[in-house]
Amino acid sequence: MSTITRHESDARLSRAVVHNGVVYLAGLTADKRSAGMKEQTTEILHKIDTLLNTSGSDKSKLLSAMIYITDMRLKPAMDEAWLAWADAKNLPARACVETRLGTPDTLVEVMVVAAQ
Amino acid sequence: MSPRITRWECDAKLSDMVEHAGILYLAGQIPEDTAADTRGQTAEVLATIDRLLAKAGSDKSKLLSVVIFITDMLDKPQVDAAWLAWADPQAVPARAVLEARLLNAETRVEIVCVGAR
Repeated sequence: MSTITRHESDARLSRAVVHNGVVYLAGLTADKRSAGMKEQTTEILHKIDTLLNTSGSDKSKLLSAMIYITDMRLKPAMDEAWLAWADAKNLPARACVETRLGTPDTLVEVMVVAAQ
Repeated sequence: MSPRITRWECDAKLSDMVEHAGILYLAGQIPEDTAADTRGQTAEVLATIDRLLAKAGSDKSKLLSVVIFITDMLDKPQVDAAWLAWADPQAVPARAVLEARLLNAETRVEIVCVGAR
C-alpha cells in the first residue's frame, strides 16, 4: 500500500497531498487581493511552483489544472499570466469556468494535479 | 524512474489530454456547434470525449470521474438525456453536475473527466 504524504496542513486542509507518484494541490488563491486578475493569477502560479517543489515535482509535470474565475471577461488577463508561466512543451489538461469564490475580492482560484 | 507523461492535442495554453501512470486527464471540453440546444451540445462534447479517449486506446467504459458544468441547472434534464443515451450502463463513472458560467453565453455545457487507459 502506498503512503500518503501531506504538506502545509492546517485544521481544514492540506495544501499538497502526494500519493502514488501523483501530487494533488488544494485550491489556491492570491494573498494580495487588491491586485488585478493578472497579478492574482501570477501570485497563485508562483505558489504552485513552491508547493510542487516541496512535493518533488515542478510545472513541467503538470497533469491537469482547474481554474475558477469570478468574471469570464477577465479570462484574457488570467491567460496572459498563464502563458507567461506555463511550460509550453508540457501543458496540462486545463479547464476554466466562472463561479463565485471565497471572498468578494478573490478573482481566481487554481487547483492542479501533477506527477512527481 | 517516474512514469512517463504523454500529452495529446496541445495548443498554446493546454493539452486536450494527458496520460500518466495509466490515468488520462482530459481538458474541459466544450461544443463547437453552440447553436445546438443543451442536449445537442452535450452529445457533441461526449462524442469529443470518445474521440480523445480512443487516441489513448481507452473508451467511455473506463471513465473514472466526470464533472459537468452547465450554465443553467434547468438544463440538467437535457444533459441527462444526452448522457443516458451515451453512457455505458455497465460502467458509469463517478459524476457531478454543477452550474457555472462558461466561455461565452452560447456555450451551455463543459465537461471535465478522468479515465483509466
